[in-house]
Amino acid sequence: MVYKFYLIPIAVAIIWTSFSLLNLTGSDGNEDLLNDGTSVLYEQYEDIPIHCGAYPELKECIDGAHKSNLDAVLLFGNSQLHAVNNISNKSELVALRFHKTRRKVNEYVVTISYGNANFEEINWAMENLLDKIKVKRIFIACVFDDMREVGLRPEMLETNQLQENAINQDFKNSYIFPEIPIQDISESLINEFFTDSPAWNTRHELKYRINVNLRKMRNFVFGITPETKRKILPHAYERNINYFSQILKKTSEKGIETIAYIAPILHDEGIPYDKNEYSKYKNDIKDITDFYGAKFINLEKIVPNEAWGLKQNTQLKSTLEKDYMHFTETGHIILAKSLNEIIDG
Amino acid sequence: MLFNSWTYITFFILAALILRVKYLPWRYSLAVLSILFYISWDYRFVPLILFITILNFFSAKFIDKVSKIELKKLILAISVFINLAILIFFKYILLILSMFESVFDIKHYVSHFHSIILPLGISFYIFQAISYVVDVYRKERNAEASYLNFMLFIVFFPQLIAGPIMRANQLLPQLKKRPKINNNDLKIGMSYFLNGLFLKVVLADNISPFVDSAFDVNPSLLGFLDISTMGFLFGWQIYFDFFGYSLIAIGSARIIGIMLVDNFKDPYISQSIREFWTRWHISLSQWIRDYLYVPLLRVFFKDQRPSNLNLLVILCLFVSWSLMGMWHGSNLSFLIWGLMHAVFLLIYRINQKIFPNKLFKNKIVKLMSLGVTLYAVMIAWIPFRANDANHTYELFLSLISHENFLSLGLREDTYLIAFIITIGYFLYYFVVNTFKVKNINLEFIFILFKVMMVYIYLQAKDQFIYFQF
Repeated sequence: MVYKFYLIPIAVAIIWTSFSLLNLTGSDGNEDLLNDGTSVLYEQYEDIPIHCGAYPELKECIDGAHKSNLDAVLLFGNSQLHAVNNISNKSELVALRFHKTRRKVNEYVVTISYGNANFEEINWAMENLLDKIKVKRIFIACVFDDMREVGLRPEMLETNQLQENAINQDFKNSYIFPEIPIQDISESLINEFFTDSPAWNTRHELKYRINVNLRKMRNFVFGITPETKRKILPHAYERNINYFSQILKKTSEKGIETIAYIAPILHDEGIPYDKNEYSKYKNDIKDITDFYGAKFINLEKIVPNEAWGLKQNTQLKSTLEKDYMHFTETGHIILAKSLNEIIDG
Repeated sequence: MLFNSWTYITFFILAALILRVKYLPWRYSLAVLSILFYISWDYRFVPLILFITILNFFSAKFIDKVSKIELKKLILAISVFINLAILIFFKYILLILSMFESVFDIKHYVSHFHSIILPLGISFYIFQAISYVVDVYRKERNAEASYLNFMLFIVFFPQLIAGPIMRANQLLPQLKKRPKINNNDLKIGMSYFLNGLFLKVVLADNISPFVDSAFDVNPSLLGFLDISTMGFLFGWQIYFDFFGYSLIAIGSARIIGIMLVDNFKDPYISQSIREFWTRWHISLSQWIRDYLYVPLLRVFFKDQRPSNLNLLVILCLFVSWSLMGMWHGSNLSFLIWGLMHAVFLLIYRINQKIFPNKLFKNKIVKLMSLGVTLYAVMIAWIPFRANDANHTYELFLSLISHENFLSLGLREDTYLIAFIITIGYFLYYFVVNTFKVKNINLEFIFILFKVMMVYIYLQAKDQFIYFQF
């Protein structure tokens, strides 16, 4: 299609102006949770981050643990650890509560969580932590939903690339160009130049909103609701199980006490999983933990129904709907208490 | 710099403005800008590309000058040999050495070659240079008198990295003096540029994660439906990616007054493999035809016209398509891709011989041909995207295995996206070609939508697939 030549510059001007006038936050909608029901909170203790995702925040958590000189307890999991329903000003999540309690016995809890974290990503985070801090104990939250996820998220791949480039300055073994340095510099200069422009900064949020609405539209068309039973994906399941084994193998070799727990889930009118598949999953996790001499705990029912909240609708409706994965602060209190009890027996 | 980056957009706007300044010598400015563009990728290969220009410039000059046909042949042979030797060294040395590795104890030497990196665009500019020298030898054109003009023909930045592969007769005359730019050039150039960016950053780059994760799956867990979907999805990704690149290249050139040839013409609506290759990567398929397939036929048949099913003709077909496959890289899976197309073309020729021409004019047969061609082409993308020959073998084994035949082992969205794009493309094609609406308001809505999507999604992250060739 060939357009009149003046129409494109006019369109650019209109888009730029209208984006400037949009009153958006510029956020990229952290982990799909920027919505009415659910909030995201990465905790700090005495202004030092103790709860983080990928780099660069992960580095701050590592530095904090390193400076404390205490034995570290690592808690890995998905958004259940950094999301809370019906948040209040004083809400404290499991990461902070657990940290405070263990601090009293000279242990330093670092929580690392990503939305829909799969075991490959947990393995990545662990590899970035184990050599840097003295780890005494590791908790791994096992979430059946996340067994459908594979691969590392972009920021992790970027970190890998940066680390690889740092070691591999002469680009050995690379067949195509592994990086484009001049372009990297110019792209960041352009970003810096437009850094104060609302039209520039709204792009991330708009991209996020488009993606969310496309998903909602899909859910609407195919009638997908939170209650819809999600089947396992054989390849993703197999891959996650392999990574889980790798994690436990590593921690067992290093003599780190490891506890794998089945994460809490809303048991309102059943669960959104195929019962047989879910049972098999729990058995598989238990078998692997047993094999590597780790501890297996099932916490799936510890959070009562009233401690689960509501989240933004997954379809194109404005009403809130059941959230099977994230609970209110009460749920965080219960989970923190349970984790403590596991350690203290 | 990537075409799909703010850096390129900034560079291009500045370049287009500089080339409009009347006080600056146009050809020199274009040469400097082209070299700067190449330096932005890697300055280390600038001497190589300049060497290629010098080699081919003087080879052609000598061929033009000498009168003895044997001497002309010798210069041509030396020039083509050096060009190909450079290409083979950078592209295939590891493959060649690893073949000898099992026979000779050369492991230590092979390890030295692992550090070789592929100079960007080498397959494209060497083919362009070879075609120029051969054209001069064939007396289809005279050798270019000015080195600067010839250098521009090779290093012209919009088509330097991944084509279209231009012929000297098409591009060289345009580079001799400052072109006059009219509204039509701007209109076409900007439309191509915008459409190209849209295809790349909105479509190809958003399909890419689904393709990557699907090809990452253990093939033994997949079945017929999964692998067919993967073929389709990658088929769309590479189409949007390479077509998008080509549109940006052609659009960039047009805005500065230079016309490049079209590289794609709705390839997936082809009703035969032969037709597909008149619509897909046109500049490469024509190059292979004119500088490889037809010369090979001439070796065996001189000026006779042999039957399409003559054994020697079939041999030429397979040799050409093997080389077409290997041109893309040293991985044997590219060879498989090329050979699959050779087999498809052979089947097409046999069909032409067996069935009467009238049959292919029937509407139902046409529709069936379209479906069969589309499926064949999409399935042939499997080896093109697979990690290696072994991965290809495993994928094809799962494709025909009865075990997971109709099971769905991929993420649900993968099937949905493949389905929507396939249906959407044909619907779009039908609507655009049936209702040729000329409404400026509708046109403007389309532009607004595309500008907005490109603006939101543009980020210099994903390379074009063809940059690795």
